[in-house]
Amino acid sequence: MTLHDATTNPLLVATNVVKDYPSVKVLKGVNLSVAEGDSFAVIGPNGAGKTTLFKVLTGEVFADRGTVRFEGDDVTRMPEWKRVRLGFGRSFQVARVFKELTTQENVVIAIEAHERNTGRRPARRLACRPSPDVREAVEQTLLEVGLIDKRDEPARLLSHGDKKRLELAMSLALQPRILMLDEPTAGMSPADRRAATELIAAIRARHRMTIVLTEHDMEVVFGLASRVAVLHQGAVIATGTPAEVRDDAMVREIYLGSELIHA
Amino acid sequence: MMSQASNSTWKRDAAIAAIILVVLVSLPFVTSKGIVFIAGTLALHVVFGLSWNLMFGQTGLVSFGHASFFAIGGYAFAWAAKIAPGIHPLLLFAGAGLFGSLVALIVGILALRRSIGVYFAILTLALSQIVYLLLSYIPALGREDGFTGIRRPRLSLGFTTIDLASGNNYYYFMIAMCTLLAVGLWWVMHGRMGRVFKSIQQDAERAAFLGIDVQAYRLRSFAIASGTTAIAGALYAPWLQLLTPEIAHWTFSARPILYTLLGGVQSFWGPVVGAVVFAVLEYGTRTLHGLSEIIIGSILLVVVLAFPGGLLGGLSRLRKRMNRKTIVTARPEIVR
Amino acid sequence: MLALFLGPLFNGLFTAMVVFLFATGLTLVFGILRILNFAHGGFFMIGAYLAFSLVKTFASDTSTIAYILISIVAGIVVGLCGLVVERLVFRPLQHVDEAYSLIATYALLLISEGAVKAIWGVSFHSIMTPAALGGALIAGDLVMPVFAIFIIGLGVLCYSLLEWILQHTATGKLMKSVASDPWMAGMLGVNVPRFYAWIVVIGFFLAGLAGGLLLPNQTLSPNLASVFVVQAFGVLIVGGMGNIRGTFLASILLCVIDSYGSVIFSEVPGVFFYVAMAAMLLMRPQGLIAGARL
Repeated sequence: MTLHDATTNPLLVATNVVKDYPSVKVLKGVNLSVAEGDSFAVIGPNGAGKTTLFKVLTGEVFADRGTVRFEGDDVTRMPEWKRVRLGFGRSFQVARVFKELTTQENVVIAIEAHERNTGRRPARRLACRPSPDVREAVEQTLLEVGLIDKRDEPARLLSHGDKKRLELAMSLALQPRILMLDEPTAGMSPADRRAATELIAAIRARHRMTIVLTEHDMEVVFGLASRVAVLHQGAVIATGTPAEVRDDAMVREIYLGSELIHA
Repeated sequence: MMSQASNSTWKRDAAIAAIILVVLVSLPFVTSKGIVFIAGTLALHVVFGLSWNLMFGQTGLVSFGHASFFAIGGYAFAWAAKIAPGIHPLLLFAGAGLFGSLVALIVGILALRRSIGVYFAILTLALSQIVYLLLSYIPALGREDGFTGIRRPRLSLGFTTIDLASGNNYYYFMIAMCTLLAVGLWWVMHGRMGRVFKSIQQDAERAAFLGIDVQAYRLRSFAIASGTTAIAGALYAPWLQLLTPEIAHWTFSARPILYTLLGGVQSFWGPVVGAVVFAVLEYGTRTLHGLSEIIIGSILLVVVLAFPGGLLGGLSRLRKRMNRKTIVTARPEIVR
Repeated sequence: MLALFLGPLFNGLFTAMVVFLFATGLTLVFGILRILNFAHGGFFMIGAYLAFSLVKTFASDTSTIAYILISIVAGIVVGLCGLVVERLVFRPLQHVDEAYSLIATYALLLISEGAVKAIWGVSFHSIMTPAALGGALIAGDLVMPVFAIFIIGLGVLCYSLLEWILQHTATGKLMKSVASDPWMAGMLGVNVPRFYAWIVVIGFFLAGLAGGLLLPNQTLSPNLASVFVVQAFGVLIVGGMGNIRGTFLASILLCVIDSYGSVIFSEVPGVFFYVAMAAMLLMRPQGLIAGARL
């Protein structure tokens, strides 16, 4: 299970990240290091700062102090779209797709964005229609996430689970080095949750990408994560394999003690 | 399939455009000079509205200063044609457009930096007031009296020269140019760039997480729309042969907004329908002092309150409802 | 010397209070209903025309008292128009996109312009300043018209009154709470729709009142509706999205800058208002008084 050995390089490193909002200190010096190939879960009770940490890592907001490095480069103050071009992919807690466009158009936009991000010129620049390569890639992506039958449906009519899939498809279209999933199974039924977990695991295996996720559901965490960081009151109190974290005395006391034992 | 869908859109829109063009081209043969003049002006207003909707309907930018670019194009053309009469008129039209885009770029770099929504609207409104006031103060541009004596140029095309001042030549030239501009806008909206614009209009943050430089694309949308409008303004100058600062006034900036919302935001043809309906209303009520505004205002109000999707939006909703009825009535047969 | 340095300040304050008096009702409606009301200018104009007709009919020798009473009557009539507008237009607009409510109020502006043209015609009208407010105070070489001083005083009075109501009365607290969270206010038993109706009526009353009070300063023509709207939008936004204090400060700031700018660059009077407005928005997009509702 563990992919974390001496030969892998840290891909994403946060050092002493501090983020305050006007009335509250949310992150009080967070340190974490995600290695290439990790499936890294950030867990913690509500209000621990998971979402804010996520935003700081993806570039939605900037850290007040501390640094975020990606492959050794300082990206602390880099806007999100530039980080995406370096290889970040991201999904949102509540799936965000382009609601008034069809499923297919959503993916077309993502794939064409990827084409631009990687500096490739489209085959036929003047044509309105997406190029054959793009259409081929759209087909592939829709097949992979199982939305090929719903390609012409407006995204707003998709079910909650399908919206999540579509969002995943859009993130995949970018072929990210690191995929950031903010509560990928939030609000799903247990069956959908299992299916989503399997889909993410399959995608991870096939594309060999690094994954960072926040999650509430322990089943999902233990099903997907190779490493876990526990965030408590704005600081990381433990990092390790799921088993190590489970056995950590402090974690048991503060957090898992109340949730996992009952789970 | 998307390919089929976009193919049929293309064919349908081309057919509609062809019908409109046939009507416009035949107008001088069947109606009075007054109507032809209105139709020519209407063609410019259509471009004015379409380009505004590129920003609003496609990219989600509400500009309240679109008229200032119409005026900038018009005045730039008139001034350049006066001081350098030797330059080819097509170059002048293109130059006026580029100048409009350039102004939009400079304004946009500042205005789009972080302020969006109502701030962009108010900033563009401030810009339009500045342009309006400057136009009415600068002596070389004719101050409040306006820029007079703008001539319709002679158009040399290499193999032949057309005198745009004679007969209906300038009208036909304008129709051709407006068609070109409208086709250009259609192409932008339906192509790769249009897809990026649409994604920004729907969820700018999501678009940014696809690696799209949102600000750069908003800037592009603003510059393209402003440049197109500047060319329409430049075409307007020799058409009327007179420019007054009124065309930079904010009440004129409200026009494309009215056209778009009246006709419908979602459809390419929305601003066209809006402009035509507006022109008809204006023409029909032109002799009624005060009543003209009351009627136009009331109709606008009714459309906004009763059909928030504009006339075309209301139409498509109606069609959907009728379709649903057919499906419902058809269902028993399928079951059997 | 005084005129050189203080003259623009005085003139700036005068225009600032004219703009502020115009913008108070606008700010109130925007602050609470979030509707940017183009028609405010139209109803301001209707107030001015009404006051004009009343003056012509009842008070040939305009005394100050008659002028103020007539302005109040004009305000009340316009306020009643507000009641109708709220019912027929604003209420249905509550759940519609911002752009559409903007266009609806623009339509109202057109209608009010048309109504003025139909009722009063397109020719220009004006009235004399009431005798007691005529003349000027002179300090050194600085000439200060009494009417301008009166308007400055009126602006400050109006601001102080509104600020006092907002900060120190139960009504004011209610207004602020509805402005910041109408849903919660509704939960707590406030009849929000009726409250909105009252706000619109008061906003329109202020428009009509301002129309009457500023009448001696104005030449009446159907263009009057669109004269102040853009400036008022400017101070509203620069002030910070609909709070009275911000609108008041922004009026002073922008008008005084404009006044000095117009003296220094006399070829382009009036431009500096908008330059300052754009600069302020770029430097402080959240507005002078950020975050405060009303």
